[in-house]
Amino acid sequence: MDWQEPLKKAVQYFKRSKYGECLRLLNYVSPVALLGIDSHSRRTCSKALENGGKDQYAIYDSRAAVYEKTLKLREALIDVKEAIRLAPNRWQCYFRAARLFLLIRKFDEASKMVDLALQKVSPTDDKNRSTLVALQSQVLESRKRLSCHVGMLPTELLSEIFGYLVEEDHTVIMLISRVCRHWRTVALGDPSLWSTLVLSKRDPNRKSAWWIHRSKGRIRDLYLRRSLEEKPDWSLDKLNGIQWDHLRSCHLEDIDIHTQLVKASALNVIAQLETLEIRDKLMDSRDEFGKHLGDRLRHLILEGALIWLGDLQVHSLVSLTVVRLRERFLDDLFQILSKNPEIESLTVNSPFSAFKTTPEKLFTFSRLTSLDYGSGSTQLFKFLRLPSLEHLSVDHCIQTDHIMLCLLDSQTTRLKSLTIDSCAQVSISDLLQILSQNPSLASLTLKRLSGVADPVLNALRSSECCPALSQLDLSSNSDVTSALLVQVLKSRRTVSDPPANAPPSEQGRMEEILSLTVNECPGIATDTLAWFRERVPYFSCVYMTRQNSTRR
Amino acid sequence: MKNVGESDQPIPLPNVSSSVLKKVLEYCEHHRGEPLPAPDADTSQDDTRKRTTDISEWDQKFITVDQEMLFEIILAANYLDIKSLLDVGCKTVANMIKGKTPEEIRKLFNIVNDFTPEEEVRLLALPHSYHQLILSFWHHQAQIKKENEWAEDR
Repeated sequence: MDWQEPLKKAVQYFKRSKYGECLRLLNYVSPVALLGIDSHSRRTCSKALENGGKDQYAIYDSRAAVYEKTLKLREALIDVKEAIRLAPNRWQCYFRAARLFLLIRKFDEASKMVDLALQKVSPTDDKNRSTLVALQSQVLESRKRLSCHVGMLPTELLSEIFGYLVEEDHTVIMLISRVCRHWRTVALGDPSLWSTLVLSKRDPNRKSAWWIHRSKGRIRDLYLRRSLEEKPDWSLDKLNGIQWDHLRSCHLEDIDIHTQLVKASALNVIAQLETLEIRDKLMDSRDEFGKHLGDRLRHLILEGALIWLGDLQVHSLVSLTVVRLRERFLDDLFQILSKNPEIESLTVNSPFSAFKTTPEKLFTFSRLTSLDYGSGSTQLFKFLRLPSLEHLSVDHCIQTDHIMLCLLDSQTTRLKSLTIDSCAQVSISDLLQILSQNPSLASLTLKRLSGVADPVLNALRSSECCPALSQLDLSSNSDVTSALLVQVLKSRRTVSDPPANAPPSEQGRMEEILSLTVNECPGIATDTLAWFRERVPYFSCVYMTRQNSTRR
Repeated sequence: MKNVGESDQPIPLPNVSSSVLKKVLEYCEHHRGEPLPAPDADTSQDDTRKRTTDISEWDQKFITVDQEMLFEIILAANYLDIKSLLDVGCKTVANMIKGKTPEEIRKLFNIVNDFTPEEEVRLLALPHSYHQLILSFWHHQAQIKKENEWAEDR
């Protein structure tokens, strides 16, 4: 039997993409297949292969081509290896090998094969040389694109990167440790990545044991959620492995760890805290805890907790949040504020009554940039100066005169956002003056007010009023009308597109309104909604929520 | 560079390619004259404020390179002890990972998922009292499920 004849036929099948037929013929003539055929055929084929002499490589190379096409890459590589052994000077075999190595992402081997092919191909064969050069570029590009470059990083740098992620979201460590074995090893090997322990009803016994083990006891941030009460088998004793000296941030919801700290002789830990959050519904007293707080405390959040603010000996706060404290006088709040002049953020959402004893002097908080105030009395503002305020939100205050005067007297000119919600009395002239004094104001919310929206909208038609304004919320105002809003939007669109050749002095640029919310505003005509939606990227006008309609 | 001082001696940089060194020099040139971080900056930062992954506009533009170059820059910054550049590189990688699932992270960095149940069990550094709980694949699955649940604890 002539081995060349079936090979020719096989090539024809290959060209017609009939790889099964092609492979059958090639298998028939390949020496590997000889083991599986009868002795007569084997003798014939062996003879044929012998006759083929050095050209036997063609069988292997052809079969490798079929395997390559059918993505049987391992078999293809075995055959091409044999082809190279039989015909080491044929550049085509190296070329195929390079392609195969590229497919299995063995870039070094692929590159080596291309180099060998380039050595074997004739120097005058420009066409094939350029094909090989193109393949070399493809190998380099693929290596660049498909290599696992992150794998080059040493463990400590990978750990550093994980550290950045964990600082922003401590739960990320659980995702990271499921990426691959190496990442899990790195994650488990760095105790600092497990220093935040949040315990809730989700299997707290097991979680506390694992986290204390993984962090080597160095828990820095501890969150004890209220839902822990639903787990009768959980107790504070499960925290025994914690090295309390490392604790810097403590968040407690109706759980008293004071006794646990006493047991561990670790009361000094309270003085080291940088963040303390206490959200209590049922606790009778936190006074004992409060007594130990020290000047490392930077963030204090109290909700419902019975702690007298004025009694705290803390002078280092940068943020204070008080929510739903039991009714008390403003004196209590003023005392802690006066001890913390570096405060940057203040949130008050608690029913403070007017001062029992009027303060003797004003306090200037030159670093306070964010203030969220929702309390009965605004008398506090009579004694504050807030020159650096950037974000102010006031809600549910009967009158706002003290607040407005405070802003005007403080010469506050850096406001970026202003919210006034559900306040009975707002001085229009003061408000307009504040708006004109704060050119950086980008967000303005005036909700549930009376007689305020109309004069403000009229003012906003001028390019001098709030040129940076891009978000406007005038929900639940009866004096908001489509006509006024249209005028404001048109005037701001006109000014925001000055002629290209206008001198810079005349380019009084005004931001366009990108977000407009006018929910529950009866003065917005339905036939104008389409106009607004076309011109404002975010527009909301809900006339009435289902809840409100039921209520009415 | 730390501890080099004035010297005429060439500084060997066998681990830094010329294209990477060019980028590193571009960074150094741009930040020339800026104060070096205090030696104890890390410690004080750790105590008082959180590190963020914010990157300045120029640095962001500078570090917008392909992955190979990014990781080469990180390695060079580490080798040359340029802390601020190392931070920019690490923050960039952190930002790339942020918000992605493990599968998306693998795809992004061409990482092979090489977990097998046995290896995972071996790798889990757990207290002895819990080893018995996870000596089978199914227990391991239970652990992954549990960790998924805990990811909700914020």
